[in-house]
This record gives sequence, structure tokens and C-alpha cells, in this order.
Amino acid sequence: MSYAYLFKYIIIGDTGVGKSCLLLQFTDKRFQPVHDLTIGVEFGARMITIDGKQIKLQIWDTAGQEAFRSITRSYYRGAAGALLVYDITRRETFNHLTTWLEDARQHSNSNMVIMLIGNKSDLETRREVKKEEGEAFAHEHGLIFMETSAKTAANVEEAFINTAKEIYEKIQEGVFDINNEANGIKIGPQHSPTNPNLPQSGQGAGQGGGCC
Amino acid sequence: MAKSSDDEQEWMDDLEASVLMNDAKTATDVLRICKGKPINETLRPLAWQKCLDVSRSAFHASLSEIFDLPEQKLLRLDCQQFVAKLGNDDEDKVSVMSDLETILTTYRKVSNITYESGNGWLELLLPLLALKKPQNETYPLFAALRTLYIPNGCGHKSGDPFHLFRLLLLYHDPELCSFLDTKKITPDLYCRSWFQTLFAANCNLTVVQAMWDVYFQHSEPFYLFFLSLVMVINAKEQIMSLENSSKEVLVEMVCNMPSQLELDDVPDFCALAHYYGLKTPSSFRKDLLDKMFGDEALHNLLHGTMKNSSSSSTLTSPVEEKDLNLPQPLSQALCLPVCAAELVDSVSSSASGAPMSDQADGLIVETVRFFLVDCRPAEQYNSGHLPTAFHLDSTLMLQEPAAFATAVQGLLSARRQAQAVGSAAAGDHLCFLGSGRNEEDQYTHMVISSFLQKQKQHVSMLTGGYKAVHEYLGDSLNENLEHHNANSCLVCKANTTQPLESPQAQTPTVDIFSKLSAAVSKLKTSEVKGKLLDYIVNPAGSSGKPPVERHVRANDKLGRRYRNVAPVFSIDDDQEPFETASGAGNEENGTDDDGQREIINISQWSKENSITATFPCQEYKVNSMFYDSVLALSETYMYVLRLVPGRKGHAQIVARRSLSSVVKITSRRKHPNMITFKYGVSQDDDLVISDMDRLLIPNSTEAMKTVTKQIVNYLKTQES
Repeated sequence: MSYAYLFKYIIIGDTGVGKSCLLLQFTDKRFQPVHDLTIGVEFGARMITIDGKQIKLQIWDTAGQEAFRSITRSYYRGAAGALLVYDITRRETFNHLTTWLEDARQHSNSNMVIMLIGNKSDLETRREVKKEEGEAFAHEHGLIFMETSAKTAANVEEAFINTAKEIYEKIQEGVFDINNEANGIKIGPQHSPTNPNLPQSGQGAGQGGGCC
Repeated sequence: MAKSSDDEQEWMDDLEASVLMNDAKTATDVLRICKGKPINETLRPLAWQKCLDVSRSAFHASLSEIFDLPEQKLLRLDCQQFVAKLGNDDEDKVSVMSDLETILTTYRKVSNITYESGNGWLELLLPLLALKKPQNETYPLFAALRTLYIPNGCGHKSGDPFHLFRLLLLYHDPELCSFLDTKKITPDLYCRSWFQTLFAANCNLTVVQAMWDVYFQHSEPFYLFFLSLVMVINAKEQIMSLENSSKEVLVEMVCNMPSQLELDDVPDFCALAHYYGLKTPSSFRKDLLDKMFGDEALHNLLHGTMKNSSSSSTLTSPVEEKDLNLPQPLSQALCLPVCAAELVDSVSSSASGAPMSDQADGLIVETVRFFLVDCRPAEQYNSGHLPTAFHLDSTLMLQEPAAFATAVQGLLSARRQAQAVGSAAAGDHLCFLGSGRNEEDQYTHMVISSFLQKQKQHVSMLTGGYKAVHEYLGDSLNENLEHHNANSCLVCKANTTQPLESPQAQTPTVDIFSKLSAAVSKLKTSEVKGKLLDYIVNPAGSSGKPPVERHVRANDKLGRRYRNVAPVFSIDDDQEPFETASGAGNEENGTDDDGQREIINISQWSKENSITATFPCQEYKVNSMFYDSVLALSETYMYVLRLVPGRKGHAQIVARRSLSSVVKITSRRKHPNMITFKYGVSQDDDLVISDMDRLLIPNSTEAMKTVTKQIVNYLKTQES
């Protein structure tokens, strides 16, 4: 499948916040209530369309446990976008955001787009972190923010796609050096900007999905 | 020469004599005398003293009479409560109380390790008090035991021993490890008291004594980890069946597992632990020995206390604390690390055909052999690689997941084929090799993660990657690497001080594929079509045609070896043989070569081979499997025939032994029908055992008479 751009993402956040489930929902459109703990790192991919252009998202799903932290760090470099996830039903996962953010900023390139995600929005009754708190944190640190539910799929597409849009805009503005792969962006092999045969725009057609 | 069974009394006498003569000096001497078996009660104190080497001055101290510790109150209270639970009569209580407090107070002062409730000291001391030695003799035993056998760092939930244990569990049983990880049950929750007390807190006294007898003779500090491993893996079914129970219930269940051990189980328990030990890469021992065992207080002083260095669950990284031995702290390891020395030595010794076996406990177990997977980009691989390395391009995983999956399949099937023909590249243990540079190793990590995620067993990673191999080989690069090209080799290029070596050095290659194709020609169906060869480059690819065909066998499936294994502590339980037709369990016995055994008609075969006698029996394998079998005797050979289920009168020949090679026949006192045949040669005065069979023969006396007679007859004809 040819693509105009390839964006590399990394998903980070405490263990059990639903990182792997978000990825699975995005790539396979399904939800797994019982998910094995991620060991080290997993990987998924999907094609989306932005501004009429095919964009391949290559998503690295990391393990949240402390034990895999040094491995996780090695994936920041070379990522164009990061989804920083917390669980709205567990306050401590929100409290750890600062350290995650420091970690991410320290090990990534400075232009990396970070999307803050409050996951498990379907569990309204067990909510411990207010939406306003998430918004405030995002605002303070210059992040994009969204609440999602990997279970109901609410906002999952949007979270991944909005991040891609932000990256795409930065490319248009010339902020990213697209020829440097360390930025997590790659130009497609047969990139022809004037291809009129555009597939349906907006929501990506669930392509790829080669989750391992 | 054939020898009758029970020589237990004999060795017991040996020990007595030997101890009396004060012959034994070290654990090795005691091991030679006691052969790794439990020791009788009268000799135990002396044997333990010898094994623990209490003569060392470091373990001696004048006992403290002054009880003035800052935590003295706590210690005394704990001692009192502990003694109360023992249920001795009052007089005993007073003396035990005094022993406990004196010895522990002294130890506290000498070692400078603070006493804390539940740190295992009391439980650890109890079996030593049971030796009924005076305080001044008990103290050195306690000090030695603590120093030599209790791993440092057990006090903290994120201590290295627990990380190591998790890695070992991941190595041997990824499924169970993932289950526990997902349940957030970390090893410290269930095995802390096992580690802190060498099971003394969990087992009853007689079991502890018998276990320690064996333990001290082997004088292997890491034995503890394998005992614990056997304990957990043995409970796997039970653990996994509690999937819906709470974490607390599970933890308690696992933690109390050792209490079910009975005295009779100890030999099997220990033998299994030994087996797992042999089946585990040993690099971690060297890396961790100094750190994990020895003077804890001193160690804390040098490296900062455990508590400061790895207060976990915060995001502040423990990476700052760099360990010189391990490039990565144990807590951050993705899988079990293997060092370049072990890998390279294993490759060269298997290539030279040296037998790699260990004969302790009479078990013939092949030690770890690696199947090396080189995950570097193709151009790096082509600039030099170990002769046995298979190439798996890890970037494929990202770019072409389907192709990658095919490549992995091909890789695993190549491994089985290599094993079937006994190639030097064969190995049950997957060792992944990256470049040692972060750019590429993030992909290597991803590939390893995917293998672990798929719950593949025996996955390890080479510490430092190719760079480490390169450095280890030093000046002998050309003899040990293939296609090494100093002009394109990244390590060479980085090392500009080295003179450039001639490119494309010719080296003797281990010709895997010519052997493979020989094996392949025997096989019939085509399963994986040619494609995989585009992704797997073989070291000897140019010299032979690679296997595009393979035959799927029942034992092809990986990672399920434990599932059908009988509970290890119930040797008497019969078990449905699984995958019998394909010769399951051939991994531990060199004679079961490739699972391609011919099926014979027993009566016809017996005529052709002049069989004089047959005895129905069951063959017992190390993995606690029994196979319905027949022991057949001719004038020159003895055979083990394994019955084919569902085909009456048919069997496979599992073993053919020349009668002249039988050097020892023994039976177990408790199971007189369990007969062990050992084969080998006698060199000078020593017996060199090369192999063995273990058979459960009903009415064994009759059978043994016939066998011995046959052997004697055979030897007579040989002599004349």
C-alpha cells in the first residue's frame, strides 16, 4: 500500500490505563476486556487519510511497568507523535503525568506532538479525575487533550487522527524536517502529490492493521 | 559391572568413616560421599559444618552477652512469639529463647544489618538449633548460611533476587509469567519468605533438613532460584485455574505451596531444580554472584543501600545507578541476559562435537545449546557474523508483518530441522543478538518482545550484542566469524586503531544446510513455500540447498512442554503419554535422536533379532512421563521398545544398548521396581557414565535375574 507520509507514534502512560486496548481499537476495531500485560513493546499500523493524502501510522505500544522503562525510552527518539494516556478512574495515573512528560520531553525530539488522553470515559460512575483537570493540565503543558473510551471506541479514531493532523500541519508550516527520519516522519515511496484518485476522505479506512 | 541395588547403607558407612577420619574438608568431599542425598541425623551436624565451611574465621564471633540493640525490644518480642508457637515445654522454651536472642543479637552486631520483623532470621535459625549444638557452634552455621545462601536484596520488594526470579520464570514458562504479571503478582509477594529462609518458614522441619542436606552438598547459591522455579511451575495448573480469584487468594496459595512438600518429595524436587539449573544459560550467575551473595552490609556500603537505589513505582529512573557488570540493571532486562563468553563458548564446543552433559544425580542432561538469531540489518550481518547465526531482519516486522511472520515460521522450522540432524547450530534456546547500538536494538527489542508475547520458551538476549561478541573474540575474529569484512564491519570501523584485516576471510564453515537438506530429503510434505528463504539468510546458505520443505510433526508446537507433565511430586501417578508417536521428551535424552523412529511389529522383530526374553515395563523420563514399553533382551543387546498406542503389538525402538556397556543397575529402595540402567565405560578406576534408562518393571526381581545372567553370559563369551 503506498502512502504519502509515514508517521511514527508512541503510546505511553502507567500500566493498566488501556494503552494496548486503544491501539487494538484503532487498528482492529475491537475491544478485549482482558488483556495480557504488554511485554517490552508491541507494534501496530493503520492507514488514514488527511487532506486527501494517505498517511500510514506506525504505532509503538509500550509497556507501562517500571521494569520496561529503559526500553520505552529508546522509542521516544524517532517518534513524531506521542499519546500520553491516563485512566480517569485512577487518580494516581493522572498524578504520574508530570514524570511521564518529563521523560518524553527529555528523550524525544522537541517537535514531537503530544496528545493527552484520559481513557475509560465509559466508566463515568467511577471517575476520579474531572475532565476539566485533564484540560487544565493539557493547556498548561501545551498538549492536545481528549477523553476516550477504548471499550466503546468513543473518540479513539479522533485521538489518533487529530494527532496526525497536528503533525501534518507542522509539516506544512515547515517545522518538521521531513528528510530526517529521526523526527519520526517518512515520505512515502511513490509519493505523487498530484494523484487525483483519492479514496474516501475523513475517517481512515481500516487498512493495514498488521498488529503483531 | 552389574551391581545389585541398594548401596545406600554402603555410602552411609563411607560417610561415617570419612567424617570420623575427618577426611571431608569441603562441600565437594561431602557430595562425593553422600552423592547428593539426604544425610542421616547423627552425621548431619558435621556434614553441614563441612559444607558451610564454618572454619572460616569470618563466620566466627564471640557471642554477645549484652542485649543492647536499638531494636532489642522488637527482637525479643518476636523471639518470644516465635517460641510460643513452637509448642515446646516451658524448660525448652527458655533455652530456645536464649539461643535465639543471643545468636541473633550477635549476628546483628557483627553483620551490622538491622533486624526487622519478618526478615526470616528466626525461621532460618530454627533448623540449625534443631542440630542441638552449643550456641558457639550454631552461630557460625547461621552466619555462614546467611552469607553464602541468602540472596542480598530480599528485604526490598524491588530487590534484584525478585527480578532475577521473574526473568527465570519468563525464560522457562512465559505463559505462567505473563499470567502472574497480568495479575500484578510480583515474585516478592510469594517467594520472599522462601528466599529469606531457604524454605524453612514454609516447610516442615524434616523436609527442610533433607532439602538443606542436598542443597549444601551442591554448594550452589542460585539453587534456591531453581527450587522456587520448580515450586511455581509445578503449581501452574492450580494457579491458572484460579484465574478469577483475587490477587490475595492467589498469592497466599502460591506462597503456601512449599508446605505441601513431603519428605519423599525432596529427592525429586531437588533433582528437578538441578535439571532446570542445567537448562538455563549460566551467564547471570557470574554477573550476579558477587552482588547477590556475600557480605550484605559491605555490599550496601559500596553500592548504596537497596532501599535508596531502587525505590520502585516512581518514575525516577534507577538507570543512573550504573552497574559495571551489567550494562542494564536486572530490573530493566527484557529477558534473560546471556554474555558473549557463554554464547561463543557454547557455539565452539558444540561445533567441535564435545559432549555437553552433566552427570550429577545420574541424570544425563544436555546443557544449554543456543539457536542464535541475528537481528541486525542485512548489511551488518553480511559484514561478519557467528557461523551458527541465523539472520532475521527485524525491520521486516515493521515494513512487512506478513513476511516477518513467514520468516519466523521458517526460522523455527529451521531450528527443528537443525535439531533433528544434530547440527552445531541447533539449540533449544533462542538467543537474540542485536548490534549493541540503540538505533538497531530498538528493533531487536521489538522482535524479542513479540517472541515473548507469543509465549515462546527459552528466549534470551545477548548482552551488548554483536559488539560484545566482536570484543570478546579480540584477535581471533577471522577464525570465529564468517564473512567478516573489516572494511564494512561497524565495530571495526569504530575501532580505527586496528589495522584493516583482509576482507572475506575464508573460514571453515559449519555446514548446516547440507546436513539439513539430507534430513529434508527424508521428509515428504511441503508446508512452507519457498518464500521464507528470502528472509532468512543462512550462514552456510551458499554451500547447500536450503530446506523449502518440511514435515509437520506433532512435536512441532513450541511452548507447551509443561502442560502435559505430571505433577512432579507424584512420581507414582501414571500419565497418559502425549505425542507418543513422535517421540516426545527427546530433548533430554541423546539416544532419542530425531523422533523419526521406525515402528516395528514386536513379534516379527523379536524373531529377526533373536530376542530371548521380554518384560513389560514403563519407561520413565526426566519430565515425569511414563511410557508403556517393553524391555527386550537378546544375547548381545538390550532394547527399550515403546508401545504405540492404538496399535497392538507395535512399538518403536527407543534405545538399543550393548550388554557390555551396562555398567550399573540400581533400584530405589522405596520403589524396588524402578530400575535404573546406566551405560558407559570404565576408565582406570572411574566409571564414565554416558547414558541411562529408567524403567518401572513389575516383578523386577525376576527380570533383573534374567538381565544379569544374560550380561554375565555375554561377558564370558567376550572373554573367551
